[in-house]
Amino acid sequence: MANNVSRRSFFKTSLMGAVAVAVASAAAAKETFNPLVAEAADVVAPIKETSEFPYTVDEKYQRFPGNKIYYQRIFDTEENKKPITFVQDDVSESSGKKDTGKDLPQINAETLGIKGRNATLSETGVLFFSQHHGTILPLRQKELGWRPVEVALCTAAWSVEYDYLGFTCIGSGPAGVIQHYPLNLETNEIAKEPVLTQGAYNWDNFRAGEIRRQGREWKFNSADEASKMIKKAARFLGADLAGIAPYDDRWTYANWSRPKLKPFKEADGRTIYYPYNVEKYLKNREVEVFGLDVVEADWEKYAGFQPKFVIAMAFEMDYEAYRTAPSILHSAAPGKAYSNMGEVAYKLAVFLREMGYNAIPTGNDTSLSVPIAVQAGLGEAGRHGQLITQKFGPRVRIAKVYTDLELVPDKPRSFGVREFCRLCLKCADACPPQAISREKEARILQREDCGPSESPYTLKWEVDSHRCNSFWAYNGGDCGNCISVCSWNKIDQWNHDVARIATQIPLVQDAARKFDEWFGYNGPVNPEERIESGYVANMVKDFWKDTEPTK
Amino acid sequence: MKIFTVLTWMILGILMLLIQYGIWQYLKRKGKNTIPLQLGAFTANFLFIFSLAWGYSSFLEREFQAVAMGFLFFGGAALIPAVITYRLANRVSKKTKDPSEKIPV
Repeated sequence: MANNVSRRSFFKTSLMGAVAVAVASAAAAKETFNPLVAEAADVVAPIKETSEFPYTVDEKYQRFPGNKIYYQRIFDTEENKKPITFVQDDVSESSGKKDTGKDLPQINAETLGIKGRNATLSETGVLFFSQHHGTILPLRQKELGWRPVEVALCTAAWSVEYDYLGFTCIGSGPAGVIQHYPLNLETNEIAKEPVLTQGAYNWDNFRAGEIRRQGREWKFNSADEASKMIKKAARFLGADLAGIAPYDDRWTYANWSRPKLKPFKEADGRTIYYPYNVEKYLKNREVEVFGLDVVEADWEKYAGFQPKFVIAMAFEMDYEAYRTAPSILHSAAPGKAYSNMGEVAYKLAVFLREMGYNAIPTGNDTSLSVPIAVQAGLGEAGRHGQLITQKFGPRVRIAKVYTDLELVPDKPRSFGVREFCRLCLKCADACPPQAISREKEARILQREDCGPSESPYTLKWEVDSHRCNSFWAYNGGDCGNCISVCSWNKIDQWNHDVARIATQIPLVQDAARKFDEWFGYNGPVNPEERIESGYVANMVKDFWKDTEPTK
Repeated sequence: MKIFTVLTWMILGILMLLIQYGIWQYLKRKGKNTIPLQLGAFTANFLFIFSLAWGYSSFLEREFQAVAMGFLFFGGAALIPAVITYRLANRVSKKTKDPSEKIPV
């Protein structure tokens, strides 16, 4: 029969059909492929939820005082009287490697023209801030990544945080302080004397009270509905991740602190308030600070309500900029995130206030961010003490909005970070001043294990903020190596989900760090090699060359 | 997603299909079209295409060392089942002596 199909023809037709189907469906292939691999990774490497805060908090734990945050202590006059000290004077015994951080206080002192003693904490901090803010050019200004153009980009990225949020990234609170120059509406002249006001993280709940007085308070059908809508609003307004934590008094600072400011005249006659004597510093690099204003941490007194829940939001930082760490260019990434998160936190607070609920938007001020983000299920705390999220790794900044709206809290989630951090140690190896502990297991740190700016009696690895920031002063900008080289610092791509699946195999987990290095992700781990091999310079060139961001 | 990316993923899919078709034809010609050999060849084919996909994704990520390592690691791994399958497909079966040859003359 003529219509009979031979076996050969049948296979040929089937093959042609299969190719046609492949071609037709290929357009959707990548979109389909990515979520499937991500889903597979979630199945093979499951996320565990816990009902309680996942890390042991000892009964000796006390709330951390806001005036002991490292960046606040810079402006404490007492800290300018004695040289900075490290938790361990020499880490070579514990690390088995040369201590690359121990000479930094002496180098920083010499940079400021001081001979015969190490730099104080205030001198170290002001040396860093003055370079970071562009008050003076970085000492490494001739190197790619530290040039004036990179400083300018960094300052631009931080500008909203500086000028509109009130520089709360250093833990200043309640809210930040901004100085704006009043406009004469009749003459259009700008005054020479600024007014000091709260920034965008403002604590003004007048509008919420007004809505309630008018009986316009929005009633949600349930706390569950409210939670979903609040998280949707947070994402819509610009947060990359959003979760809800119950209010936990342990994480609120024991006191709230901000540096005292004093006025200085600019060349055009304008007055600018500084937390250190900028004239003396510019003249002969002499550091004079003015102390701190410290207030009790009292919600009722300053916010007018006792919070019930905290909406924690994470903001992704730029991947390409972070590859240039420890250059000052990389600091544009946290600057951009800080600037962004203040705007979004403010908008979310306005959303809540417009519905008649009290809301307090906060950045690094008011409370410890990482434990709140962990409680809100955004991620886990890594060896370097920072939040590690599943989607962006440690490349995030955290903002919080406190509210009295009834919500349903999320649960802390574990996806293997702590187990991985035990073995990896990439951040500790990449840290130029060796500030990150190399101990295998996290442990409940005692007071003597920590510096004054670290919170003891919780289960974690020690990070010496004095060592860290001594390098920042030397570097001319914040460092970021620990975030950049972190094995969890990857873009959201299918091949990294495959790698996450592979890390569930016991032997592969042990070798995962090596694989990460062999595949060259985020450059050499050795901090000297990052610079000397030309990796950082190449990444800076790539950053400026690629107009399309890598995501 | 750019059209170039769509085309790349499309080409990878078609390439895998064509290679598998070639393997099927090859094994059939050799008279060794068995499930174990098909599986061995498919593993090699999958790893080869995987290495290309890894390389392409790493290239988009601008991680050039990861491109090279992807080829080395997954491409290298593809060689193992490929060589085994090839050797098995081309194995000359041992000649058994004809009973008449065993008869001493």
